[in-house]
Amino acid sequence: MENLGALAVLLAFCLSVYAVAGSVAGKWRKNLFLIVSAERAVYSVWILLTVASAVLVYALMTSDFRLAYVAQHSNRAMPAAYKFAAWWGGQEGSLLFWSWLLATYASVAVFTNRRKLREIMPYTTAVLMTTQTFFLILNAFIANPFQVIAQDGAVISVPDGNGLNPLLQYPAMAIHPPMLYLGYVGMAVPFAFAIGSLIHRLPGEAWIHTTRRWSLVTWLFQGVGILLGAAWAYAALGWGGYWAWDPVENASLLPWLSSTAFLHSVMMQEKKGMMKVWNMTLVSSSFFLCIFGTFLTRSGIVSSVHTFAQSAIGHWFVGFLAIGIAATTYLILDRLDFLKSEAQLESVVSRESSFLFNNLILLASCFAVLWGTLFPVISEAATGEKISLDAAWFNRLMIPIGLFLLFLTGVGPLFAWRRTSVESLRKNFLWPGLASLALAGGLVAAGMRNFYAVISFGFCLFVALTVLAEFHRGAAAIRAKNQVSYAMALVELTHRNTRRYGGYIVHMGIVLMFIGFTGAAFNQDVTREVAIGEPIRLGSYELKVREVTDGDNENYTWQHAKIDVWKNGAFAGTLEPERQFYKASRQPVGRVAIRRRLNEDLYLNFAGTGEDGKATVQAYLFPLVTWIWVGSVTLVLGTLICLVPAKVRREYARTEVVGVLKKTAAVRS
Amino acid sequence: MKRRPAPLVLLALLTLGAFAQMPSKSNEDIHRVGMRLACLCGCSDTVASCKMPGCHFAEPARVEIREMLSAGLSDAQILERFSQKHGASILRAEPSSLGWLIPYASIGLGLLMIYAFVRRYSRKPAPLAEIPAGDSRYQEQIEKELANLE
Amino acid sequence: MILAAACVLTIAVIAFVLLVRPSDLPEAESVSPFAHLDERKASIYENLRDLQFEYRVGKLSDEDYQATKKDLQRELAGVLAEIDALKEKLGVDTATRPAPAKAPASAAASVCPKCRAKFAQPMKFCGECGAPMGGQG
Repeated sequence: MENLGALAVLLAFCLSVYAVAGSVAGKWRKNLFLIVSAERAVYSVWILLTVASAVLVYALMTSDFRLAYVAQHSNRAMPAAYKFAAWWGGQEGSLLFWSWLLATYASVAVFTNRRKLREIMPYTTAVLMTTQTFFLILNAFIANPFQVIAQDGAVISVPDGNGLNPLLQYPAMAIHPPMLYLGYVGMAVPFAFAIGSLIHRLPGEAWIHTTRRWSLVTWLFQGVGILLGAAWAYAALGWGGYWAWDPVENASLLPWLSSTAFLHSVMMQEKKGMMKVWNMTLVSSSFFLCIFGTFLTRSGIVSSVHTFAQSAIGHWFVGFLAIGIAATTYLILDRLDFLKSEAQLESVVSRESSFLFNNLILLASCFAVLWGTLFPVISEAATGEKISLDAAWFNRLMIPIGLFLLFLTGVGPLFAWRRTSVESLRKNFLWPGLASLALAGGLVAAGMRNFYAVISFGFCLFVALTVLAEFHRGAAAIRAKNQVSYAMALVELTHRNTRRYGGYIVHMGIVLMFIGFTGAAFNQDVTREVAIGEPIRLGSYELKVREVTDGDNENYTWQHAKIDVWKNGAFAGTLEPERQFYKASRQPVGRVAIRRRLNEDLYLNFAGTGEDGKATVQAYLFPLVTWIWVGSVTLVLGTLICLVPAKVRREYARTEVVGVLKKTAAVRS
Repeated sequence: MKRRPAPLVLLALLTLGAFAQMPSKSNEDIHRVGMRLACLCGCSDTVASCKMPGCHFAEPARVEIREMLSAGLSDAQILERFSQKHGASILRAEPSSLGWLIPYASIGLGLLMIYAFVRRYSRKPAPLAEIPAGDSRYQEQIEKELANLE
Repeated sequence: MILAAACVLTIAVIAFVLLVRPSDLPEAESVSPFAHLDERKASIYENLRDLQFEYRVGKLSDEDYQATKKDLQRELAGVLAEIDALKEKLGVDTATRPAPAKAPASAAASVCPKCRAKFAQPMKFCGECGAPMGGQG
């Protein structure tokens, strides 16, 4: 069975090399047969990788412990869903998963463009398949998931496997890596189209229109992946944090930040034909940051909670990144004339400038995170001493940057394209500005002395008001014109320009998330060893351990606490945190219990009982943290709205050469 | 997009210290000292940042630091004890100012780039004359197509 | 068994890749040499539409509106000139085909906002309940 998998990977490698060579040669020699054959090779790579993945998943599901990968990442006691999730649970499997996703994306991209953009498709295919080849080299020769365990030259099977890391045996965690990978891999498609049109010097912005949805969907997957990771960290790691600036978390944030910058600055190119070089740079750097993220996760260069395996594949990644970046830089520099700006800036006070600042801040934060992540490596190389930067360092640096970004979120949409006079500014700024000043003043008067928190709440109100005003004005105008109800007018308004109003909803989600982040300024916690019935006080809560039970199943042993909660003297229910000890991996894991409310979360971690029978309980109070998840849902909704085709499509008079028939086409807007 | 204002947590913890009923040292103190000590469990993190659950080195070390802090030892004394026990290689340097400088320098560089961009692409507000005479033949076509706009 | 499957898979894949018949070649959509200029024109029209809407909802001052509108019209004239120049260069005659017929001016005009009755064309007043419908019918 495993031979079939290994063969499929090897064959896929050959075909993907063929696809690169075939499409480029076909393009140069204008041989349509070669181009089509190369495209078929793309589909074939997908089929072969699907076969290989199916073989691996089959081995995992049937607990075939002759395979080293299965023995390392699965065991008999694991539920079926986690056996399946073990596909991406370890080094070799996750790289195969990456390859398979890339092949899927490539096949979809090639298929949907089989009649369109014929001039650049060979190059696009070549770029996609070059990346595919790189990953297939890893799959076939460096991190082969189909290796069997051999002893004295004979294949043997171990009685039971090590099992998936128990921390990863958690529902959000089972889908967090695939989401992130969908994001990481997806960036390859916009990048490939961008490079394709750059090589061919395709006039117009066709690559942007074609890949607009790709980049948005990719961005969404990446964001959802990050947020699921945060939700997992919050609910599973037992210390109540959702973000620890762990290198691998940072690695997933980097491409997200740079593609956020890309999604914004690409509007400059669509609207005015400016910043072409910059957008090309951004789409490329997003792609390379995705590869870099995979590299960080997989190579263990900066160690973290996520890098469960360390290996030598780092060199391969560094090589690929170096060659890729060099080639892209050369292409961009060589074709600067093709990327020349078509327009000028009319005024410094304009939407254009706000995009410049938005890009600056997003990229600066991206760079700061990158710098902080690599600092241990850099400092070791420079001074021989490994200096780690902790979460506090990141927070001190990123809070001001984040707040400024929040401010820009509110300010940007108030500026008009091209120029904005003082009068327009006054019209738009006056009320939101006054209201947020009033809120900040009120908070200080009410005794809030936390500078950042006051600023953050003020900005949140400001942005929320500007977004609401935007919806209100538009809806009011439509209601007056079409004589429909206000709700209908809102729907109509959003439907007319889904991108803009969906974008505003995304901004609203960001505001809600910032409310949640700001709550962290008011966290409280207490750790105590208590006897049964002894009270613990935290804020307005009183906690009493009612009983502790224990037991075991085939996967782990557990200790289970029932803790009664009183809030302001009134009984508020029972929370049941648990301590589990996984047998296969010999790891203890705390399963926390959380009482989630919109104003604050009560978060209990039970650390087991001591020899004196006293229970150790860590209780945390996290104000407003639920708003992060509310904001995340809003962000997803907004992005989905952006993906809905707008009602008013950009259909326009077409200039046609007389005597040639053309199909109708509309630029997707 | 996620920022957890940890310095604020520290502030909040200090002001809310009255509520904490344990005479223990706050986690931030342990963290500060832990950041100066390498974790010897095989990871390349520090005692404070090693998040391996149930780490055989970091977790006891953190308990030790907590006890030493409670006993009133200074940071330097604690570090001294650890280096005596595990060798000097366990010590990690404090974050230098370089770590701070570069990110802010990058913002400065970005501002310069924006300035250069604005300088390069700004144009004087063109006199609000009508569309140049040579293009007047398009005026009619534009008007017609504009009328179809909405 | 496994060996047979491996052989079948290999042969099938290679055959699929290498055997491309002439009838398999895709019929590429012909691309007008004016496509990118049309696209630019469309994007300017869209900017104009946005501008008008922002002005109507009161986000823009008169002065900004007029100045930006002038700019956009000037840009439009530039694109039209480019189209003509290209026409001359290619030596072809062209016709401008209007945008594909739109769906009824707006959905709101053919569906009564009050009683939800639907009509084939935009109506000024609803034929069922008499409520104003905003169409030109």
